[in-house]
Amino acid sequence: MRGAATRFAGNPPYWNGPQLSGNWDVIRYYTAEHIRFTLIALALGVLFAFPIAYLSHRRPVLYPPILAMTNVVYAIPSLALFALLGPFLGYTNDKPIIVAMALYTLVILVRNIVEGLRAVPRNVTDAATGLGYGRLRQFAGVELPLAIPTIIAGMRLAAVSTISLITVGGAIGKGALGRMFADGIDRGIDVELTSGVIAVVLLALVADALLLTAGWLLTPWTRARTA
Amino acid sequence: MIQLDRVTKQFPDGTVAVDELSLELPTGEVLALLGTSGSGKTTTLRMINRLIEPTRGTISIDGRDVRSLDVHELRRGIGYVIQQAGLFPHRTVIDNVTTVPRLLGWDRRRSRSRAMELLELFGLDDSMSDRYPAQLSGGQQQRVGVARALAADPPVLLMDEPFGAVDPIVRAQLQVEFARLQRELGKTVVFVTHDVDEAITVGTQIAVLRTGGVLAQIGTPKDVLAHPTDLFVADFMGADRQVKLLGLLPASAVNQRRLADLPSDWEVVLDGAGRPTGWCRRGAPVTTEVITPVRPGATARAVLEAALASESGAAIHVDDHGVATGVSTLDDLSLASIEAAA
Repeated sequence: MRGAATRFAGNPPYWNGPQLSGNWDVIRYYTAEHIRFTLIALALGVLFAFPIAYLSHRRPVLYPPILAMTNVVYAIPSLALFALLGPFLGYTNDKPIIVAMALYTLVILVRNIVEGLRAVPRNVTDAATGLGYGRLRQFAGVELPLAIPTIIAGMRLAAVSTISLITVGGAIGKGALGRMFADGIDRGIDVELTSGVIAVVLLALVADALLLTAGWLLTPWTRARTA
Repeated sequence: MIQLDRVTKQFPDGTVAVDELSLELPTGEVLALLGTSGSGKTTTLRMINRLIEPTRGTISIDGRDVRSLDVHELRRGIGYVIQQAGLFPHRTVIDNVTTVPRLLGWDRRRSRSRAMELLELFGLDDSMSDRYPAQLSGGQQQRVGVARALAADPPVLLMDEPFGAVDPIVRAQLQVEFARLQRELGKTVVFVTHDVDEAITVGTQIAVLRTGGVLAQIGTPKDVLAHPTDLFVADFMGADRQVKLLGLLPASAVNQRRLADLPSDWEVVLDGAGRPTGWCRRGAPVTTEVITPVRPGATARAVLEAALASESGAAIHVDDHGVATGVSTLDDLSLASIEAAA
């Protein structure tokens, strides 16, 4: 670990030797990057998914075409999508991969938010409207909270799939922990490759557990039992 | 006062749900909108708080056209109760009840104390207030639904088959409870139901709608039972509508004979205090029989039931002390004479 801070100033750390020891900073560096990519991609995905889902929910005729569009985006192979986004976002920065990941989450998030909203019992929304709720207040105060279980289920899936898909970016020199896959294969360092895989899996498990917990905390009524 | 003036609702697919409906409901009355499915009763109700907008005609509350008001303000000023209560599953009982006060911007303390007051009025104890709807019985949920509708003390209450989703025993309890509460509260209520007995129990007025949302008859429960305008109303009110009518008339209106004037050879057996203990044939040895006397305040229907249940074919009236005051036979149960006396 000697001089780790100065050794890599501005540059990604580099795996030295065939062993794990002395290379923890590499794992830390790419894990941090992986988390950053995932968080930004998910945040962007959620940010776009909500208005799109709200629109699909309010105007059901728009839902099938919107769903089809998100499906088409999802069907674009990731490397091709990075390349497609390049002209708009640049080739050398992290933006294409983050935006691509955000776009992929839409197929899951939009669908789950809309299905969650649709599952809100009709008599509940009817009561809310009849008691004098305004449209947005009813959405935020009644429909959205009741859709939380379905939305969280979608976010868990989106998070895990994003964490896994980011690694594909390793092939183009981006991709956080995916870099360790690429480098490990290129230079024949099995330990680097395995460490990267383990880190990705752990990250996915932790993200899933965190979202599961968040969902649990946000929906106390689902646990209420008849006394 | 709620007024509907030639209100028509035609849906985009061409179906006419309500057709030229006009009616007037004075303040403090309970109007039971009675009809089968497809008679437009729910549509009518939902036009009052503008969940559905009429195609033609006007609806006004206390002289003001409902369309001249802001729709949210209008709805916050009208209590709304629906089938299966429609409680918010993610909110506790107290938070459900304080819904409209919060929408109206009341402060937290005032909302909560008002909610607690209502929960008490509905016989829901303090420990219920922090439960979620899923933790309540169907009957309790309905009570919370009514409490929620009354939270901001609206003068008008719209109820759409509010007790439709509970079992018959709880349902009957809720109806009686509601009728009693309404006598204290004096709200102007529109109550949608397809159940004739419910309409009779809660309504001070009954409007019978036929398919297509056409008003067949409107009047007091007694009027509609006694004088249905046509065969449709008569059928709808039921083959037993005369018996139902007896249930609305007082036992005191039934002709009573003196105990000695029974037109048969039956005699009432009395104990030392003058309370009836049974019947016996004149001259025959006394055998005791379980009898159900008609108490003061009972309905004419109780007289009929007592007469049918009795071996002698007559009902015994008693006073507050249980002392026999007279008898009525089935011959005395003529509707015309009871109605005239009531």
